[in-house]
Amino acid sequence: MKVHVPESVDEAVGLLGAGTVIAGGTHVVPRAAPTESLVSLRRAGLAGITVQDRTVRIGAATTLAQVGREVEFLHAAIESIASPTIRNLATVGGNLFVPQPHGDLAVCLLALDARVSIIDSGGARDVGVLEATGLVTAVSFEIPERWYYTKAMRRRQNSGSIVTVASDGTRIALGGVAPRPVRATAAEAALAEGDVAKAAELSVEAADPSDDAYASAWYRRRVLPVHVRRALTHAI
Amino acid sequence: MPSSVIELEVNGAEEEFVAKPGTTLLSVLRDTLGLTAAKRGCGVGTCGTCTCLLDGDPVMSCLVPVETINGSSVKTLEGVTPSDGTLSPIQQAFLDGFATQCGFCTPGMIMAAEALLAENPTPTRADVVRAISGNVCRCTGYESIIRAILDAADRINHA
Repeated sequence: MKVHVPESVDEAVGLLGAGTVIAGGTHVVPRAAPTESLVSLRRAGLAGITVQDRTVRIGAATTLAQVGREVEFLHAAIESIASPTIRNLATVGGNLFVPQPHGDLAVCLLALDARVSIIDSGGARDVGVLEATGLVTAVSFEIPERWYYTKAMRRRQNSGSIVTVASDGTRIALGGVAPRPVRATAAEAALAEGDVAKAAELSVEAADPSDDAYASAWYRRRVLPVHVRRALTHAI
Repeated sequence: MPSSVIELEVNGAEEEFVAKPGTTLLSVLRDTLGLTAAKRGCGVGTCGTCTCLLDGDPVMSCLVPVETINGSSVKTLEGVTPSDGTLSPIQQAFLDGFATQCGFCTPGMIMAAEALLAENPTPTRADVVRAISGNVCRCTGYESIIRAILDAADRINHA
């Protein structure tokens, strides 16, 4: 086992393939095999948030805690993720890769149609949230005019998602109900016609839920329309 | 990769030690530095009893490979306890309010409370619940812990 701690993005890129990339390590470190090497981005200079006009750019190694403090409309979403002690370590880049029912920020980023800046063997480029691969350096998105977010949990704090719904009033992204965050495109079409009830009903078309310790697949599918309707009728 | 020489400031003292690859901050504290207040409960970031302050922020020390924080400052419960044999206000409030039963979660609870009160000296009950939401207690039912942290805030503010 090796733990590489590159001090720059270039150095980090050179270490792609030398181990599992981590930043906060909250998901990978407890699961890493004793022989598994790691590449930590903690010192690679990838943390920080810049806001220019309405465009927000967040470095991949920025902690969720910092996002919650500095990006106001995402505060509720960040507060719904794990605990402060985890949010002080867990990062924006890492959240793109954690399996559901975790990764609520990735659900938000999908609803925001965020661009993910990556570097891999094909060079540096921007891709969509679900196409992120290689080394993620940043995410960027426009601050939406409207924002809707709800997360159904077993407890009010620090719990995986039963159903997560994020929307800017046009795009609808779901978490907790499929292996990865998903766009509810049929629901979006109904929403475009102003029919929230139909959007809620059609949201199940995007769902492919699983059983886990938080809820059964049956339950998730059953309550999904309720939470979509609630989310879309209460802007944050 | 050979072991690394790591430097940390722990509870105000400079520490230098050799760590094997992937050694967690928690292991260093307990096994290398002999600071056993932080406990190893779950080892996967779920229980919170290993909570320490890393550069002032409360984190789960079982999740942090120590090579990644070379040069940082760490504070543990040992660093909170006054050296004259008395207890810190939060420790005293826990004792007086029967907020400790088996005691295994207590170091993490107190460190989470330390971070909270450092940032917000007049927390609401909701602020306290949020601050300890990553810390599991299987004895007290949490109420006595929440009351003790609110009590400690009062004591500090009226000291």
